[in-house]
Amino acid sequence: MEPARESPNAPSDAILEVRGLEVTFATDRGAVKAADGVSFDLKPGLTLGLVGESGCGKTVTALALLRLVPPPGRITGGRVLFGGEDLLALSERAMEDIRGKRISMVFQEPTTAFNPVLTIGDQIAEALIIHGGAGRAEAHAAAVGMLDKVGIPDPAERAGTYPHQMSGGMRQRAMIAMALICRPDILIADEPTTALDVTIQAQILDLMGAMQREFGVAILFISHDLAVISEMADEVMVMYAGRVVERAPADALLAHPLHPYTQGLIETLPRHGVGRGRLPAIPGTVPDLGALPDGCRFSDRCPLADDGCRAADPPLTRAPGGRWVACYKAAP
Amino acid sequence: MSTATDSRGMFGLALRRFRRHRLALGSAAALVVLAVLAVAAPLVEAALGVDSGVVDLFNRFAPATAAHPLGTDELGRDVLVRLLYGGRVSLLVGLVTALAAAVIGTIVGLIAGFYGGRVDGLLMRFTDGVIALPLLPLLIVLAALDLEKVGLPAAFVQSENVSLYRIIAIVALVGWTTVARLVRGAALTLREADFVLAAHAQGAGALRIMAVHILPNLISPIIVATTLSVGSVILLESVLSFLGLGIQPPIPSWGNLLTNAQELIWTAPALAFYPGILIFVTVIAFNFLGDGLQDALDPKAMEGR
Repeated sequence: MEPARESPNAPSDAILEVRGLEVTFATDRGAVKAADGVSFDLKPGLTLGLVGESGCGKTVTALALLRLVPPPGRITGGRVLFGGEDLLALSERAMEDIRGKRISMVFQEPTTAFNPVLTIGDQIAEALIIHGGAGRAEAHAAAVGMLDKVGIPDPAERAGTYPHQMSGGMRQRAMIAMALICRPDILIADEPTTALDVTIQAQILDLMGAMQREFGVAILFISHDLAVISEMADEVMVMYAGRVVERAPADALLAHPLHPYTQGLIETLPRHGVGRGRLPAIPGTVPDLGALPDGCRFSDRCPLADDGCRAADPPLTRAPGGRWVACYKAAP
Repeated sequence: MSTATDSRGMFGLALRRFRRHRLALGSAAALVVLAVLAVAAPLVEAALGVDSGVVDLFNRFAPATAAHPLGTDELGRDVLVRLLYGGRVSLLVGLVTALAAAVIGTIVGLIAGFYGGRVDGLLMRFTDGVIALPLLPLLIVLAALDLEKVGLPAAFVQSENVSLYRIIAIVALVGWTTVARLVRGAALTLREADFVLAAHAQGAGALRIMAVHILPNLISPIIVATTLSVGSVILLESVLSFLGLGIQPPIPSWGNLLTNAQELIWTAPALAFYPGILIFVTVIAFNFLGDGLQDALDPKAMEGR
């Protein structure tokens, strides 16, 4: 595939340009591409939603931006341009300066993403000490200020407590404070609300929106839940089996999905006041990346697939309205 | 409502669990008494009005009196005061050596477990090698080594305490393997933890992640292992001293007091009995203390029983 064909008419205001990103895992049965030719832009103050089923390569793509893909995975291709520099070409030392300071990450499980034996305040202050050369007292004060911003009551007292003494929602707020303490340009949020109750989930989404307005941070918001994505994202990218299959402005994508997989995802959303009985489901499961079907990767689950689909993998091509879709049968 | 009790944190809870552990509590008390007496040896000496360094051949094998509560030895020196001075040496050697071994083992284990792969393989094969060394012959060779020829300054080599430093170094150099394996195993697991990934994502370097994020999670097992090893170090010191390769007289240690008593076992069995019982009590107390700390610091281990 040619990355050139995938690249959108890149607006110059993009802060991060990902082109043809490829992550390969060495397995017993040979090399498997968990992300294959993924391209997108992140723009300041805007949110890109990344949606797809489990195992489609969302988290691997996110970790690749920080060059934190766990072994046996390796980034084997593409470029990640941040301020004109290719992050994939930087030294590990230079990459450490970017992590947490310019690009930071919120994880899915606030329970395990905090170190159980360190106080919340120390963990939030850490990035400032690493990057800003801030003193302990100064960094601690900043951490308390940040806890206050993310809506934690008694922030000065809370900073001295341990993770297990907080509720899940509180911990996720603290995690957002930790990610934003250095005022990064980009925030990667990997399923930040999946582990939370629905009511807490809404609060966290509100908080992330408010933080984005205050700091102008660009967000890559990853979720398997299209309903959550639709609330947060300005633009949505749908991944399937390591490939981007559709990318479009959020409203357009939800109102009028082009790819059969996206259509399937939207149909599975429960809608208020519409219909009764069973929700539709997409038949089958995400294919094993080691044993992909020939041609289009979705062809074995797709109601529209024909011999042409099974013969060649459709490239991501431009569609009207600033949209991109990888499907021969895409609804016009 | 929970914060009031919770805020004392893990160590508050551990303390409460520890206090329920009678045997460990008793052991801790016994060790504290022994340590205080050993540290206060000069005071005891002054209070009794004796001088344990002075030979008094007119007063050999004296029975217990007010001035000599445990009698005197074959050179007329006060047995109690000699035992206390010996305790100073034996406890000091035990603690310092166990600490030094724990430091070496922690560093080796952390590096092996954190980096994994080839580094881990190399360090662990080296550890296996050290474990496989026949300990006693090696210690004998090391103890017989002429330090001046190794390049150490003559003043240091001829100082009275050199046998003390020598035994600490020797035992620490072979004793770190237990802690290294323990730490390595735990670090291998911890490096996969989400919070380590989160620390990476915050821009923390390898050294920082090892020292700030992984090490504090390993403190409890390291404390337990170190406590347990104090006992075995004291035993090893007494063995070496008994063989004449450890602490050299006139510095007393429980080990070389035992050596002295060996020839007199028929004339004055008490002289062998006292250092023997002190070694026994100390070693067993450190073992009970280690078990108690284990149960207190790691309640999961106790549930399994």
